[in-house]
Parts: sequence; C-alpha cells; structure tokens
Amino acid sequence: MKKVVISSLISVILGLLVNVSLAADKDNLNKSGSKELAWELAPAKTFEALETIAQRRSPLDALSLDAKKRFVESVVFTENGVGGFDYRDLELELTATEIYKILSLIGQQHVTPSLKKARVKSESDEIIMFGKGPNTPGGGDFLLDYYCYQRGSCESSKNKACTSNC
Amino acid sequence: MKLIITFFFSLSFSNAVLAYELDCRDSSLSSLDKVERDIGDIIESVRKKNALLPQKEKKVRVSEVLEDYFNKCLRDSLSNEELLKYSNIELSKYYLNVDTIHFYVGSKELAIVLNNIVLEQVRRKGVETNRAKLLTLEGILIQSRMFKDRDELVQIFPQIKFSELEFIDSGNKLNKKRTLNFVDDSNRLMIDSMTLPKGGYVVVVSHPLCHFSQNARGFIRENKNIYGVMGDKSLWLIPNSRRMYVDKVVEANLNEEKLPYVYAYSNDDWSEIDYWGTPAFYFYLNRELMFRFSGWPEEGNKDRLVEGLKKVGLL
Repeated sequence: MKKVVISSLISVILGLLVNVSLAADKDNLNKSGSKELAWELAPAKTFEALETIAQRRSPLDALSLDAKKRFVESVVFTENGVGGFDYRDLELELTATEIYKILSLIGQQHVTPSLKKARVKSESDEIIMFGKGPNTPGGGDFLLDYYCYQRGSCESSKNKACTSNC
Repeated sequence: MKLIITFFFSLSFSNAVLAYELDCRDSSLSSLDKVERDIGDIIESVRKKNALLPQKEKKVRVSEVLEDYFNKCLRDSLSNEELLKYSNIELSKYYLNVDTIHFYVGSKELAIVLNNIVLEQVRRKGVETNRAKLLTLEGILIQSRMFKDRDELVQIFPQIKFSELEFIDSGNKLNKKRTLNFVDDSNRLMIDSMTLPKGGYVVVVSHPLCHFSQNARGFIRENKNIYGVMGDKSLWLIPNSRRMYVDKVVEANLNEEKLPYVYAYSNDDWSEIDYWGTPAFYFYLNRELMFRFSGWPEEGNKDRLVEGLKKVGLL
C-alpha cells in the first residue's frame, strides 16, 4: 500500500515537472520570435544535415542539378543560425513558394520576400511576397549582396546574403 | 587562332606581396567558364590579404584589381563589333562575367558593355521575358549613374515593373563628394555634393538593413553624450550598389531623424575610404582622415568609437 502511494506521488510530481517544462519552452518560443522558431524547427542546422536532405526527395529538387549543388554548398551555418547563402539560383529558377519551401529547410523562410525577382505565379506566391505575416521580413536584418566575412561587418559580395547570425 | 596571354599580377603591401598568375582566356566557351572562376579567385585572394592587414594599413580595393583584370583580359573582346560575332551562349557567358566584375567596379564602361549585350540579345529576341535580368540591368545602370540609358530601358519594356525611382540633379557640382539625398521621403532622389565641415566629423559607412549598423546606431542612441555629438557631426553613408532598398532607407530615416542615411553617388568620390563593409567609421579633423575602424560585433566597439571621437576633438 505504502509503495503504491509513493509511486503515485512520484508520477504526479514527474507529470507536474513535465508540464512546467513544456510551459517554459512555449514561453521561450513566444519570447524568442518567429525567426528563432523557424530556426528551432529547421530540419537542417548543419551542412551535413542539408546534404543528407539534398540526397533524397526534397523541396531542393525544384532547382536544377547544378543550382542545387551550388545552393547547398553556399549555406554557411554558424552556432547562432544561418550566416549567409547564395540566393542567385533561387531567384533565377524558382517561384516564391518554391523558395519559401527551400529556405524553410534552413529556417530562413522569412527572407523570401526580399528576393524580389522570384517568380510570382500562384496565390501562395502573392501571399509570401506581398502579404503581411510573421515571416515577412520586418526586423530588417537581412542584406542581399553582402556577406559576413568578418565578425560584426557586412561586406559587399555578389549573390550572397548577410544575416544577423554572423 | 586562339591566343592565350598570361600576365603576372602583383600588389605590393607594406610588408608582403599578393601575387598570382592568371590566364587571359581565349573566347572559347570552356575558357569563358574559367573566367568566372578566375574572378572568384581574385576576389578571394584580395579578401584574404586584406583580412591579414593591420587595421591601420590601407586595404586593397577588389574593384581596382578586377578592373585591371578586365582591361587586360576582356576589354578587347567586347567591342560592339565583336559582340555581333558571338553566339547566344557566348553572349550570355560574357554577360555573366562582366556582370560580376561590374558588381564590384561599378564603372560606366562595364555598364555600357552589359547594356549593349542585353540590347543585342533583345535584337535576337533572346531576353524579352527575362524579368529578373532586366531588373538587374536597371540596377546596374542606376549604380553606374546612367540615368538616360535606364530611362530608355524602361521605355523599351513597358510590361516590366521597374523601380520608379526618380533622380533629380541639384546642379550643385561645387564639391567632389557627391551624395544622393531623399526629397520628401519619396522615390525621388536628389544628386547633391558636399564638403566635409571643419573641425571634427565622422563618416559612417553603413546600411539600414545591416544588423551590425543597426546595433551601432542603437548603442549611439542610448549614449546621450555620443548621440549628442554624432547627431550633428556625422554622415551615415550607404555604399553605392545595385540594390537601393529605398523604402527601408526612408523608414529608417523617419525613425531616426538625427542620424539620416544618404547614398554615396560614387564610392570613388571618397578616395580615403578603403573599406566599404558596413559599418565602418571614419574620423576626420579639418577634413583630414585621422582614425578609422570597422565592424560592430555583438559586444560592440565602444572603446574604438570613443577613441575616434576623442582624436578628432568631438569628446
């Protein structure tokens, strides 16, 4: 009888701890904002992970073979997130929705509306490019044709992007 | 007959030499592919060299090195007469290569070549529907300040929604340092010129979409002494580039009236500025450059900012 009571008590305490922890996580996510959430949920947080994704069926297949290789090799992962990537082929070959899907892999989908030359064909393209939402670029911390070669500085660089994660 | 010329390129530094050997390729397709790689190698070499230079040393400009490469290896192949001889693929490849060089150099000569290539492609009915390329060309013509050619481009392609920017010449050509200033926070930009004032002054090469520039401005705003000084004695200069982000710049200026951004009309007007990464701080005393530093990492760069302000008597 005593054992049953103790084990019930332990279960209750464990349950409470899990709930508290989940609530704290939720709170953190709310506080950290949609860009951080996008990074948290990104399937690829390392070059190796992105390369693995590229080897199976994925949104990256919307790119031509050469462009896919170029894009994957261009993504710079830092401990804070993606530090930069080459956007040229995305703009040249894809619709806004296709770009959004690819950038979602690396938690950078909020950047899509900045790629002004993306093709706009469908309703979802319109929403992504011209709509207002949590993933439209509002923070203004994404600079095209610049790259983070040294800490704390964005340097002019064709087809690259300088993000705040440098 | 295909002619391959090799030239040896070297740049002298105070204590080292950057040197590499380049082939001036012939005009075969495989050679044109390699030109793109050559250009990438040049940029990388200069960057690596610059990264090793002490902060006080003047940096090598990528633009100067690439311009030299263009003059020695590509210029002769790109006259109007020569363009007519190339196949569609060759034209596209030449465009890509010159486009990359122009990105860093920004010269009119290169913009004219790019404009001519596109006009030739249009004549062959090649690029009518390539919206992305035409928008880029508009940016190229604006970057090279070829406003008349840009207007002609807009007229040739009425179906394309171009930038709608309007450039007005103030007629003030008294000073060498030209700027593009906003007129009424709109799409209208005034070409003006300025002279640095006497006494202490700070030019901050910066960009409203650069996170590090934003952080530097945030720090300055929070420090009353520094804000008070820089509000009157600083110029926030956006490097000349193809993408102008006019709406973002207007928004930033509305949010911070004491530190307004202006565009550099030509980076060459600011010969003493050797690094156009953002942010980069240049401190002048009686129009003479006294001190400079670049970058605003996470922990800031307060000591250097204060040092610079003190050196030019602003603190």
